[in-house]
Amino acid sequence: MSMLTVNNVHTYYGSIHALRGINLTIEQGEIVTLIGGNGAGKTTTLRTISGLLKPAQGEIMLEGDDLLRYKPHEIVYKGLSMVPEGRGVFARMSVLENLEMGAFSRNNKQEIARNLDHVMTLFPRLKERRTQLAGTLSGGEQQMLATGRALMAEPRILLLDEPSMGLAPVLVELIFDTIVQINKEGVTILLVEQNALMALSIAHRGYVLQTGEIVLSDKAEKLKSDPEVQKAYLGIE
Amino acid sequence: MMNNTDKENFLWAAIKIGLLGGAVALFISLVGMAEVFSKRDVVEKTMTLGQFVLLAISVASGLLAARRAAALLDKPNAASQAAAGLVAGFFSAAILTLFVIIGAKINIRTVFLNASPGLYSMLTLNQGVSGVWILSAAGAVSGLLGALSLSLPNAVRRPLFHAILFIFFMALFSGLFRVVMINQSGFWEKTAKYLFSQTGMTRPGAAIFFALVAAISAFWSAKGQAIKTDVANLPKGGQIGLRVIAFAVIAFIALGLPLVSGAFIAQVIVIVALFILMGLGLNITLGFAGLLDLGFVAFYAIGAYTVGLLTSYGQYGLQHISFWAAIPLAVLVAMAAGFTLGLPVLGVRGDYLAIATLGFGEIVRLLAGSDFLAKYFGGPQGIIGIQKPCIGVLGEFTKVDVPRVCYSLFDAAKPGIELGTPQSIYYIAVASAILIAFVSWRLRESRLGRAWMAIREDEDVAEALGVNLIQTKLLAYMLGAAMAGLGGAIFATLIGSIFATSMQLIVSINVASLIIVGGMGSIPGVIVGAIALIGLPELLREVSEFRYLLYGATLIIMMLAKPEGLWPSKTTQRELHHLDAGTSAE
Repeated sequence: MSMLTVNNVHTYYGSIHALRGINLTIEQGEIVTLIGGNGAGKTTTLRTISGLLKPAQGEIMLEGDDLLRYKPHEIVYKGLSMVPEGRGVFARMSVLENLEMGAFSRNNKQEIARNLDHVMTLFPRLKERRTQLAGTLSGGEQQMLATGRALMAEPRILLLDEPSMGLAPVLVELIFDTIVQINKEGVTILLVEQNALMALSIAHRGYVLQTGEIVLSDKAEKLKSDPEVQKAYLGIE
Repeated sequence: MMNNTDKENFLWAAIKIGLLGGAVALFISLVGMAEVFSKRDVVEKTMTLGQFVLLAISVASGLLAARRAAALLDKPNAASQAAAGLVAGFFSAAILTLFVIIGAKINIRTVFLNASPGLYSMLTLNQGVSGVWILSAAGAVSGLLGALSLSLPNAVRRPLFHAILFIFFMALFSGLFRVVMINQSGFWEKTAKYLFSQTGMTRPGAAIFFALVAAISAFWSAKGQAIKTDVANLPKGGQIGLRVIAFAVIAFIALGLPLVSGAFIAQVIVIVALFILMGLGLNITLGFAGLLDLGFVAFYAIGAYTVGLLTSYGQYGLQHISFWAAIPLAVLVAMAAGFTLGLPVLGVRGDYLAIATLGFGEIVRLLAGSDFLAKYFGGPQGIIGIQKPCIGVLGEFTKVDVPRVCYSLFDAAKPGIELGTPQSIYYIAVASAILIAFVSWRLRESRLGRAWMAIREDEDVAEALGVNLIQTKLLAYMLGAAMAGLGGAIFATLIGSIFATSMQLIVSINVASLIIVGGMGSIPGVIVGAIALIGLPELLREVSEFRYLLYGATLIIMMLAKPEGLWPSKTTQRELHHLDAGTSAE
């Protein structure tokens, strides 16, 4: 059984037909990336999967469980966690409180404490700044915090929306290294990125999204060498 | 000549500051504040409060001008600073002088109602227009004094400043102290008559207070730090002991206060406590969960009407149960109302939410006061004859307009304790406020509190993390409403009757303002805000006339100077003052 299957999903914003029949399959343990230009529907896809948007039509299955049956706040209990676009840290709460909020769906205090330790070792920066307000962190630290917070829910699949947005190249590399490490620890990853080159270099497979439709899907290396992809997303003529 | 042409001439800057101060002084005079204040003395037969305020403006102008001069001049010296102060002080008074001269020739009272003969004579010290030079001279001298105070060493200036400030507040509150002390007769009465006059402080009184405060302030600035470290270095037992003593002193004062204060002060404290209850309630909805509710008075009204309908012995009383049984019911009904308000506005955010809740508040008030529902709620006549709380056994309800008799718990023939006076309601109100403050504090630290804060910060992310938005938001409305409902219920018993006209929008605005002034999301902030915005205007009759003017001014000044509030929560404080310290280089 696949980890996540998205089957012919259509989503509307009012009268705008944003997703026009998306099909995705993500296997256990994979890193899959979704690339595409502005307004292609990448964020909409993630928000639909995580339940924040209701699709008009289609099917979303997490390990054979129909996600559309659940309310948005119940989906995290199923093992799916999202790092939203623009990080969405709780600005007026401390780093520690943000991370604790990440474990809102869980009850076992000991396990939560163990998870917290794990996140702190993954991002030592957060440990240094745990009493600081999240709003006062730098962009890179906020991205770390948002990722750490999502991990606190102990997800089996993690959805990341544009983790490289607005970050210095050094930090982008650091974040991507961490994504690979999280994946190695057994978390399946769906990564949405504008920075297609970076995304394809760590992903196993990729989908190319254009105006709400999947136009291409293949192994990551293949996509990287595809002339169309190179021209449109990698800036190679 | 070395002259920095980029910089403004310091005298010109002083004139501008002076004119600005003058404009403020003129404004205060024209709205009638100066004249009302001049009926109260700071020091008997020496200086009225009105004069004090006007002079203070000149002093402040002089001080600011001298500071400005120091910043503008390449080589600041005492003489030029003094000149700047003199000029600023003179110009601050010059505007008033001009006003008096014009007012003597033309009757401007048709436009400015408060430009009365009383105001002119107050400004010229009863000398008529010919005495107007006194005004300018006083302004100039005050400005000069303000400027000179800058060159005083800190050790002298601060005690002086504290003492003057204290004298000002003492003058405002002297009437209250006098009444309380005279009620005690004997030694206290004599002391009161020595320190306070009918309208303010006596000369010896002012001198004593001045010397006392200056001495304490000087002592504290010299030794305060050492005392603080000594306390911090105390062994743990000692620290706990200190806290117990402090707590005992506060408890003793709180318990004993209504016994000596008289009905008026007790009533003011009850009203403050009721606003604290409402403030704590709105603090949950707005401060914790970030849901702006401008119709908050509705829950207060619902709590009050529930107690009214359930306990009144008047014609609208549905049941005639005791206050104690009605209180939990009132809280429950208010919670149900919170649920009813919350449900339709669940998906509404920000500005739209403010408008929707505003509508709710008005609907409740209009319904309660409408002729249509008058046979249930009494319409404009309201509900009267609300049963007073009784510690004991209530007699049977016999007929309309006859209160139930309160019998002693132990002997059915003797009367029980009826809590009829403001002094006795005081205990109910203060105990409720303390209880609810504790509940608020526990809620904030709870899982629910965290969820509230998360939805305040970002609803979508909170939901994605597993927060049930519907449940969490409804609980915020319901618990907030419950606290306001409790306040309303106590209010109904305090007054003994309720009228829809007392449930105006302005009450909601007052509650929102006190939260903002106190510090959004902070529990001590609610208490401080209620004392500052509700208690002080109630106590100071002179000020209450200009309540909303001062409100507006306070809010603007607060937003500019101390946006986090008087007693902010730790978070807000950090947010606004440690931003630079927090951001790291990437």
